[in-house]
Amino acid sequence: MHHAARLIHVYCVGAVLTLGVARAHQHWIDLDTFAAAQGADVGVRICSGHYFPKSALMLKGNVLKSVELLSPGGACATVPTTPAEKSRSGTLKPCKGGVHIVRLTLQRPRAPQPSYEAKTLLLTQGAHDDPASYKVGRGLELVPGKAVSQLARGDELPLFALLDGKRVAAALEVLVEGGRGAFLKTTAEQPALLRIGRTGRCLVTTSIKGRGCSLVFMVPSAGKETP
Amino acid sequence: MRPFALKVITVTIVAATGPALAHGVHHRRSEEGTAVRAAYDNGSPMAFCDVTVSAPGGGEGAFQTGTTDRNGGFAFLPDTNGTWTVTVDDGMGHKVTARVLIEAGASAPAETAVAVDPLHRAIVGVALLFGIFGLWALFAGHRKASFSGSDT
Repeated sequence: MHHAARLIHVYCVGAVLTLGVARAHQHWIDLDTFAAAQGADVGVRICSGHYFPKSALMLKGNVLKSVELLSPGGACATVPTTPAEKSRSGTLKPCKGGVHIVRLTLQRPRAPQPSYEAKTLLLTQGAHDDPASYKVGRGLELVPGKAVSQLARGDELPLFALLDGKRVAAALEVLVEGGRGAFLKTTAEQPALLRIGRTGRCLVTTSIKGRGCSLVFMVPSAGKETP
Repeated sequence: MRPFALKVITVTIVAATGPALAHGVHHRRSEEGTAVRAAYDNGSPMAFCDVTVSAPGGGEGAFQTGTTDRNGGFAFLPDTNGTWTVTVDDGMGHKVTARVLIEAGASAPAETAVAVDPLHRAIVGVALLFGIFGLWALFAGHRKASFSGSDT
């Protein structure tokens, strides 16, 4: 009986691990640095796959609606990208001080709405990291409720899901670079609380009615990537 | 009188030649054809995705290209018997290929193709193995428990 119980235990653990791996394709924007000097070139990669932060496939050009750099003050610039081996890459230049948002929209030709929206937060060195700047206000997006550059291990980060600027309920999946994944839930009233367990890049994704979105931000190590 | 007659003739000729110069188009409803409906493994349709239809035997490139409708559907009119290949690609890493057999005199039913990538197939396979193993472990445990119960 003891042997059978152990087998059942192994089965349960295996089943849980298997479920954890079974994820849909995610799309995200990766940057060379998340705390760039003002006016410096920053490499951008449009990544897709299952194993963040490693990109496994390149998106087709006809589904790539836009890659934009949203600067403080509302300025918006298109970021040109070219196909690379398993991603698309480009370069951007944050010309203003403050929080910049790199935003990717995937939309199939003839489709009435985007099928995926990804964004990444980029802060210029020495600038104030204002969480009020994290919101784009259109489409499906994930918005942190605290300054991400100030995060440290053990902190709790509130995360909101917004659809056209309004809070919505969503199931979130979190993947931290080199760490385990986690699942969280947010409602229209309450944010999901992400406990920061390690430093590095963090990917948060969600999907509502077949429309997906992702957010990438950097949890800085002490003395590194901190503006 | 003569200039008036000339005008009438000219107007008549222009009016008569106008419709003759345009290309006529018409349509007829077809009861033939076959349709494929593509969906993700969670059931949501592969809407507005690229479709490539290849005729039996391949060669000469694609027979037809297009996009699925909002429900993931795509219809085409095969012009020969054999196995047709319909590939639906969402451009974001999901692709599914349906093979549709067209036989003489047979009506072609709607086919459903489901996009499951190889990784997910492997995961489902492993999950099935775990399931079978788990059930076996459960039964083995029960049998052992009942045997030990009858001994005492």
